[in-house]
Amino acid sequence: MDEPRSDSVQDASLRVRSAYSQPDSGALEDWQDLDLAHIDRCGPPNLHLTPGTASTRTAFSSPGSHPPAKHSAPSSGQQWQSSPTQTQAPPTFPSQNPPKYLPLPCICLLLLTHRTFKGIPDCWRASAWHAFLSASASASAHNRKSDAELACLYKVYIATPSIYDVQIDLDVPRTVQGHVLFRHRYSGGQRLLFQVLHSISLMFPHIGYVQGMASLVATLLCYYNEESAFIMLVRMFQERHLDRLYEPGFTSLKSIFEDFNSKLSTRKLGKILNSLGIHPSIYLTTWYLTLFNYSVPFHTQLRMWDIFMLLDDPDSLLQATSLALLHSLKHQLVNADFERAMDLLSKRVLIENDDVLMRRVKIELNAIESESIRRKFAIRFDRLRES
Amino acid sequence: MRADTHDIPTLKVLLVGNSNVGKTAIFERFVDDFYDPETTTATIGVDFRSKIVEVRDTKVKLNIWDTAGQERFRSLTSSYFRNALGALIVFDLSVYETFEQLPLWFRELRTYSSDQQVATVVVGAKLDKVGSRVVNRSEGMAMADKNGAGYIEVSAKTGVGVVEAFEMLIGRIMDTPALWKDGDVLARTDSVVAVDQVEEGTRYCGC
Repeated sequence: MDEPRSDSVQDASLRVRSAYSQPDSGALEDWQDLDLAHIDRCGPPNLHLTPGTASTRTAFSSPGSHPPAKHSAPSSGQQWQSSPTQTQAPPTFPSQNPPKYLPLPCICLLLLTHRTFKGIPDCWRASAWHAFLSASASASAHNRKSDAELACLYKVYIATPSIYDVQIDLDVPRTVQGHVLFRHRYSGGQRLLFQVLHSISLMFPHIGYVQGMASLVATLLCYYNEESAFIMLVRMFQERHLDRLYEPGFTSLKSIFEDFNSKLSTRKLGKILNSLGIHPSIYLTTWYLTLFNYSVPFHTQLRMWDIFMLLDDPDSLLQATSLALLHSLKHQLVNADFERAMDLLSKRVLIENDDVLMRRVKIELNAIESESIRRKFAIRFDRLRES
Repeated sequence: MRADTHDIPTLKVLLVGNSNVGKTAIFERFVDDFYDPETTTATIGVDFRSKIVEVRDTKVKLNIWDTAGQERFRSLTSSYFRNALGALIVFDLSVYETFEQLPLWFRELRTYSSDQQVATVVVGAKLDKVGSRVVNRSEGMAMADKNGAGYIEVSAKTGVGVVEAFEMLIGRIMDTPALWKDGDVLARTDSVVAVDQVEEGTRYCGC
C-alpha cells in the first residue's frame, strides 16, 4: 500500500539522510548547552563506560518516580567485578579492541543467573549485556560476524539509502522526547537513533524498520555509542531471536500470542480477561515490540533486559515477564470492567518494587521450564511405551 | 462509570490513517482535553480509551480504538476493525501523501469491518500549521463526498474541531438506519476479536 516509486524513495532517502548528516561530533552537541552539574543524566554515549561513569538514568522520560535500583548486596558492584564473566576489570567498552570475555562456564551460570536476577549494577550493565550476547554469538552454530566486522558493515550502511528512511524520520523525533539526549531535531541523540535504525533496516532487509524498534535503540544508546548500539541490536535480533517479532505479517508474533493466550486461559485472571473479551494481543503487541519500554518505568525495564540479555530462551522469558506483570495488576484487574481493564493494560504499569517483580518473573520462568521438561519427558516416555 | 452506564449504548469507533498524521493527538485531545507535543510517541498496535458523550440529547459511550499507522501493522490492527460502527479517517493537511492514501483506508475499512456500512468522517489534521497546508478544503470535501463520508478539519494543538469531529461521526452513525434503529445501536459491542480467530457471526461483548 505504501510502496512508493523507487526514484521518489531514493530522493526522499537522500533528503532525510542529508538532514541527519551533520559533522560527526558523537552527539556531544547535546551537552554543550547544559550545566552538567545540575542535571541527573545518563553518560554521553560515546564515553567509555567505566564503573561510575553512567549515573542513574532518571532523565529518561518515563512518568512516575524513579527510586534508585535496589541491589540487595551493598557490594554488588564489587561482586560483579569478581564475576566469572570478566577476565579483567574494569572493562572499557566500547573501544578499538574490545575486551575479551570468556564464554560463560556452565558451573557459574547458576550463580550468574542468581546475581542477574538481583539486578546488574548500572555501571556494569553495558559490559555485562555485551558479554552475555557475545558469549551467545561465539557459541552460535551459525557463523556470526565479529564486532569489528559489524562495525565495518555499519559504516557501509550509513552511506546506503534505505526505503525505510522516511518512516524512521517520522518516528525519531517522537522517541523518548523528554530525554536530554534526544531533544535536538536532526542532531545529537536523534542523529544516532536515525543512523542505527537506518542501518538495522539494511542489515535485516526482510524485516526492515518496524515501529517499536526505536525504543530498543534509544535504550541501547543510553549505554553504548552508535556502532556498539548497532552491534548490540544485531546480536539481540540474532542471538535472542528478536527479529521474529517484527517479521512481515507478524506470523510469529501471532503464534506467540496464541501460546500466551492458551497459558493464561488456564488461570483465573485469564478467565476474567477472556470474559471481558480482552485478548492478549491487545496489550502484548506494545509490551513485546518495545521490549517493555512503553509498559514499565525505565528502571524496571532495565531489570527485565538484564535477564533477557543473559538467557537464551526469549519466548519463555517474554511469557514469564508478561505473566509477572499481569500478576502485579491482578488485584486491580479482577474487579475491573472492560474499560478499566483496558486502561490498566494499555498504560505504563507503575512498579513499586522491582525486586518483587523480578522474583515473580523467576517463579513464572521456573514454572514454564519445568512444564516444558515435563512435556519432553512425557513424550519420551510415550515413545518408550510404544516401542 | 459503573452500573449507571450500562444502559448507555456503546459505540465502537476507530481512528485510522497514515503514520504521524496525528491520530493519537486527536484521541488525547478528545478524551482528556490534553495536548503535549513533548510526550507524543508512535502507537504500537492499538490504544484504547472510552468516553461518554451526549449527542442530540442522547448519551452514548464511545469506545475509541486508536490504531498504529505504519503499513506493517495493518495485519494486526485490521482485526480490531470488526464490529466498528464508525471511523475517523485522519490525514495530515500538510502532507499530500497522507491525503492520497485515503481511498486505500476506505477500502481497508470495507474489507475488514464486519458491517459493510461503517459511518466515516474524513479528518484533515494539523489545521494550525497554516503556512504548510497543501490540501485545500474543497479537495478534501470532494474526496469525502466521493466516499460517502463527512469532512472536517481539526487541530489537536488548539482543540479546534476535535469534539465536532466525533460528534459528526456519532451523528452519522445515528443517521445510518442499518447501524442505529429505534434510538439504540444494533451492534452494542466492544468486540475484541482475537487475532486470526475471526469467525463469521462471532461477537464478543465487552460491556
